[in-house]
Amino acid sequence: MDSGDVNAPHSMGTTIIGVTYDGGVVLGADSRTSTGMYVANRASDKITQLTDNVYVCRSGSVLKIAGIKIFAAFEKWFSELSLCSLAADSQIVSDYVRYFLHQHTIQLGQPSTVKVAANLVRLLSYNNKNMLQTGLIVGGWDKYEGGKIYGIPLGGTVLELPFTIGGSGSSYLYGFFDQAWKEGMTREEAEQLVVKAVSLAIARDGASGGVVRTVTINKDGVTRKFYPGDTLPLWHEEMEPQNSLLDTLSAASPEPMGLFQCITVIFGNCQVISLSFEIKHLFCKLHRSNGHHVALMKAKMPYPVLYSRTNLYFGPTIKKAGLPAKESLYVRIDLVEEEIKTIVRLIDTVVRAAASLIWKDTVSKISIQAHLLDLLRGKYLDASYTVYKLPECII
Amino acid sequence: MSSIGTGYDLSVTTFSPDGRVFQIEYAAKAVDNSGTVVAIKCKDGVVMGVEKLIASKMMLPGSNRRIHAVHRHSGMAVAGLAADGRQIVARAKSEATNYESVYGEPIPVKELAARVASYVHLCTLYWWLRPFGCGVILGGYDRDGPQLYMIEPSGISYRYFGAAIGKEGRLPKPIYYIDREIEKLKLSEMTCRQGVIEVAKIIYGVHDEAKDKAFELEMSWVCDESNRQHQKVPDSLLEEAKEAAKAALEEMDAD
Repeated sequence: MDSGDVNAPHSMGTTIIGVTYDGGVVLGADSRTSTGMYVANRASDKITQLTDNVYVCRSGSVLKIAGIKIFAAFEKWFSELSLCSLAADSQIVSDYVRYFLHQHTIQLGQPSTVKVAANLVRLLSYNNKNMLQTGLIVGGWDKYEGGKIYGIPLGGTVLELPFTIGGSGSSYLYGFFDQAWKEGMTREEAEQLVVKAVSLAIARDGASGGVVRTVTINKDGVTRKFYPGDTLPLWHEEMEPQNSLLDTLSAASPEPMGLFQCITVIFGNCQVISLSFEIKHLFCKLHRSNGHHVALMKAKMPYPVLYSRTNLYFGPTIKKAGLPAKESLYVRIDLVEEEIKTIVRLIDTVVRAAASLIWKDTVSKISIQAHLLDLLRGKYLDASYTVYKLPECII
Repeated sequence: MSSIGTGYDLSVTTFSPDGRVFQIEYAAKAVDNSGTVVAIKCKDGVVMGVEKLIASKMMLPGSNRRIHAVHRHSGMAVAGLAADGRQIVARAKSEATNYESVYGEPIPVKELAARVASYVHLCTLYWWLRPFGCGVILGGYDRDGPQLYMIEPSGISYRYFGAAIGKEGRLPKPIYYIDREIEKLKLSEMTCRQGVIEVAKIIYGVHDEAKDKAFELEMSWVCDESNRQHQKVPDSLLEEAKEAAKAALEEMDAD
């Protein structure tokens, strides 16, 4: 992806789904709100209440910044900021609709129908189409029509459908629903279908993630369910979730952690491998403890990474290596033959630490692992030692 | 029943010492000057009938309609000053279309009645507006079933299963007829086909031959048979109703 291409429109990270079943509806959504590569909120609630019996799934898009020629860095920052502020479009629309529906309920003396809610959303979406970009799914239950789902995509069309999907993650679900959807499902079947679908979208869409939230609405009322990210099934080539090493490290180290730092490990008496993330480059240095460089790898990051560069301690086995001040944070571990597996595990942990420390970064972690592994494989490790399975895709 | 409220009846914004607003009561009297309107709610719909007094032999039959369609699902029969009635009907039509364009569904009859009543009442609040000189019967069929409302010049609106206004609309006459039918056939079990005939009988029954000369019977319904649309009663059924009503009248006269 070209980092300078800020004029290309792209959809906000979301996967939203609405499905009818025999007796009601199930609405589902992921929980990631991303601003460019940064996940602004990993546990957001995209299913908002409009009335007691009608809820809406919200998603938004980024407006193209057409024709504004400012220097590249500002453009990039502005587009990311706009992403944040335009997510508010869907919130504003649902706030207005909630207000109008409340008045309507009072006037009629009975709950509003889902159709009325959808119509109000549609009027706002359509009449303000130049200023807003929202993709919404209105779902609910009323006593006249039962469970209904209405899809209201970008231009303000309103479509009454047995099921509908939206957001950036929905692109990966069209084929799935074509095959898996059937008429007249039970409540459990519908809920399972929604959770499965959202987790599939999360697996493939970088802009969707976090947890899965569902809301089921029927004549008996509304039920909210929450499925934490680690309870979701893993799909093809997805890695097992790891605990963030931040937890273990913060327990050991008295010093506050900075994010995305320089992690350095010294092996025995010969190698120092350090990873550091500066604004634009990933440095991977290999040099002897006596200070001579053996190799220096430098990779250009696809996006500027706005992280500060500080250092990180590594466990209670720290020994001061007697190195100059700026290098005093290296950990020294003596290499023993039968501890190769430990080292391998250590590298694994280090790299996963690096990976987990950038859990907020939608840029793939894989490229870092690839670099490190290439360095190690062949030269310092027997090829039969596989540190971990490498997924094939690299940015 | 009528009393002269000298001094307190000059403006609609004046109360009398005994708490009455005379101008509104006088407005109601204007309603009594026009032909009777009778409406009943049957099991499957609402039937409305108007005794349209013919002012001149030169008038074309079928003109000067007193029953107006407000929306696909509802209609309004007017008694009183015709021009005022047109204004109310226009307002009702506008409310109905506005509601549908905002909320996306046909206006519930209850809501329509509330809005019309609110509009009629509005005109009783300001000294620079006079009250409407007409009462209106609103019949409609929405997702909650068939409903019948009557809105008086004061802005009062109630829901009825049988209602009458106009010359012979004052109690107890039309109620006597309606009650008689309730004894024989419950209104809640009567279909609109039967209802049309009953309404015709009532109107023929209350028409005073001595006082007024000729009249034309105008009827409309909104029921399952008309596909829940407000329509003129089909000509064949109307003729049938007229015949039945005339026969019943002769029967009564013979008694």
